[in-house]
Amino acid sequence: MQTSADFARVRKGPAADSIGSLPARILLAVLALLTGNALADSYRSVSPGSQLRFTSWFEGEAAQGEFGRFEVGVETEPVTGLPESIRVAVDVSSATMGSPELDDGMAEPEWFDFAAFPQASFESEVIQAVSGSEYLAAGKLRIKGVEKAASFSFEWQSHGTTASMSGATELSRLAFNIGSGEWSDTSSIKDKVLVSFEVALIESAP
Amino acid sequence: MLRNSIHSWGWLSRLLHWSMAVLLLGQVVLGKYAHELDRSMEKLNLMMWHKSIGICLLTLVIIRLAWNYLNPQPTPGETAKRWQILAQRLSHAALYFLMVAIPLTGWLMNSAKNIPFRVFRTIPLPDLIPPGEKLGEVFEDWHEGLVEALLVLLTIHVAAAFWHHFYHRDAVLLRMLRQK
Repeated sequence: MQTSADFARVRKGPAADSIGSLPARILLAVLALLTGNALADSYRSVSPGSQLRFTSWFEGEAAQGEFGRFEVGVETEPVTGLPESIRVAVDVSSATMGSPELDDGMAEPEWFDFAAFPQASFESEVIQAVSGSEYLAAGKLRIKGVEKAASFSFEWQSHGTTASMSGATELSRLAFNIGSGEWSDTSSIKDKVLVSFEVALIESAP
Repeated sequence: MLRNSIHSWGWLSRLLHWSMAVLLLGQVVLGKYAHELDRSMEKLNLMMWHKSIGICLLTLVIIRLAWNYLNPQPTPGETAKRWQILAQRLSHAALYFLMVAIPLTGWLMNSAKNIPFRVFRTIPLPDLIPPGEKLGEVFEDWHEGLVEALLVLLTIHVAAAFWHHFYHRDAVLLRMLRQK
């Protein structure tokens, strides 16, 4: 599924620009060096064992799909090891619903518009511990060039050099212009989309 | 009378014949029209109706086959020649085969293409086969080819009915319309 070349592709592009201007990034890097905190992610997702799925409702029937290529980076607090920030980059064109007709439709401008918006991203702003291994991440979700505040709960478990996270959230496709024009009619295809993820991560080299 | 006799068709047989005749013609027009449309809401809606009506037709033909099995068939007229009886039997068998095979290949096509579908957007329908792009295209070709065969046979069927009515002036067409 995901190769290092794909990863490089995912990291380039507009999503990376949302991190901040160049001076701001230099400042962050200097601060990180001063505080002894590496700017790099503490954990990075690995492809086997990682899944990003979605369920939409088409003609009253649940229709599953998944993104084959995506990348998750998690920074943890150095002392406690608890997640501090999350960033997700998704290669939108890797979406498949297991049906050539639906897959062709997804690529079109009214839907995901693969050509114009090949990337989707999430950057967390706040992560709150809810209970036990459960957390709530709030941040900015960017799909099809539309940025919205979004939050989701997830479970985080770290076991030394590896970690895992899983969770689910409900999104509105129309909030991101997914299915625009006549497709914004929700009688055949519901507005609600359920997104779920299961991510296997490994500790990044310091 | 509900049941058939060797002289006439009961009302259930006549109802099944004419309701299926109307639905079948509508299906062919609807299917051909929707097939030509580009991906759109209209196509999605029309295809949902086409598939739903197709499942109704499949249900109706199964009821009809069962009813035929449980009932006598009106016999051919005494003047009927051997080849005519043979032609009638063969063409009716072929029509029944197509009335089963056409919705079935449509259902198989939809399963292979993995397109979410519920009959009239409410009743879930199991997938007959797992998804497969190649098989989807194969069943699409079969579905379309069988429809062309159906149109040829229906033309012969209608022509034969008129031939009986206007040339032979017998009751073959009339007995499908009314009780004797």
